[in-house]
Amino acid sequence: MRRLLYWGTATVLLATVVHLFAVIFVPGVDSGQKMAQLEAAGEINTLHRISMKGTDPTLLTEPSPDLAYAFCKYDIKSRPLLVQGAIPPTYWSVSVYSEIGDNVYTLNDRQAGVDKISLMLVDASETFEDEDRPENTIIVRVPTATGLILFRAFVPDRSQSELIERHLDASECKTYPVRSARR
Amino acid sequence: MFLICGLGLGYCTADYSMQEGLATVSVRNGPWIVWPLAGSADADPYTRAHFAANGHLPLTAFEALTFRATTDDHGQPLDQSCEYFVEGRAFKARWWSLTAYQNDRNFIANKAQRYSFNSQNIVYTGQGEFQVALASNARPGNWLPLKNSGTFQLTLRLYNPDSDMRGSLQELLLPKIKKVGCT
Repeated sequence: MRRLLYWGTATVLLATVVHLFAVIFVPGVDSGQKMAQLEAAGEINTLHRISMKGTDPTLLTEPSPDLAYAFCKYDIKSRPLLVQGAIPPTYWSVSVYSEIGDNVYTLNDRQAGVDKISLMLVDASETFEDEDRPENTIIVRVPTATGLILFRAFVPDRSQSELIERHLDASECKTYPVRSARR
Repeated sequence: MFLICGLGLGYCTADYSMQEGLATVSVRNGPWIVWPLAGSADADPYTRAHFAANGHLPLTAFEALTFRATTDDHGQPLDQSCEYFVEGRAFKARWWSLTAYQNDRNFIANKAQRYSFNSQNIVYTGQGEFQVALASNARPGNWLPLKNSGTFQLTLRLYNPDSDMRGSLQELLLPKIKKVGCT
């Protein structure tokens, strides 16, 4: 009986360790793989529109067929990133994801209230002088120097897809020529 | 034996808690499951693991609520050899969409290239009420084509939901998923 209790307890303890290990380490490993997959799909700090033709596998898992997407994989270790979005006349949003997949910032078309928006991504661990900020630009401080920016735009019906894609194509991600001073 | 049981138990409980969610981190409403802390920097390890393991880049609940169903109202797995009616009414959100995915998370291929309905292209039957037929053969009205075999899942996305929706996820009036019959 004592032997059975011993091995039963040991099994539960091992199962607990495996369970916690999987839950805690899966996000880092899987998010890293996702980011690597997106990085391989295009140049870093550059905007790429995602083709959504038929049932072709896309870079996104379970994408919405009612949205058009574009993304920039960012790396702001050496310079901030300037993100310029052309906002179509439908629902639109830009989301910033950290390296581990946290949605650290989202702005939609109604919150923006304009048809063109300018954001600057700055590493939260670095100082950024306000005089370096271009006019009418929102500063977004991100917790990790690498991650992903994802644009989403609602395509209510197929007749509007060309118009929406034109807006995404007119958007841009580019490094900004001001080096943040490290603390 | 100890190793096999411990590793197996740990893996199975971790997989279940990441996919289906524990009662403390995901909310069930009929056949629908939603993860309220999706995308949030304050998310618990299970929510993070769920979205990382599935390769999703989630929006926070303020921007969108995403509900997934893999079973009908009676808890039976959604099967493409069967026919279903999804019945509901418009939601208090800026716009919404209902999408069917096959088991590998790709769209269900069909000649009409119809994978979803959204709040603007769906045909309503009454005062904001709708019915979507899911079947392998064409149906009048809102028809989402299925193949003849394999399981599938439904995803309901509500964009910019009203604040009272975010606070009452368990009481929300979500669409019924009724099985009509199987071939």
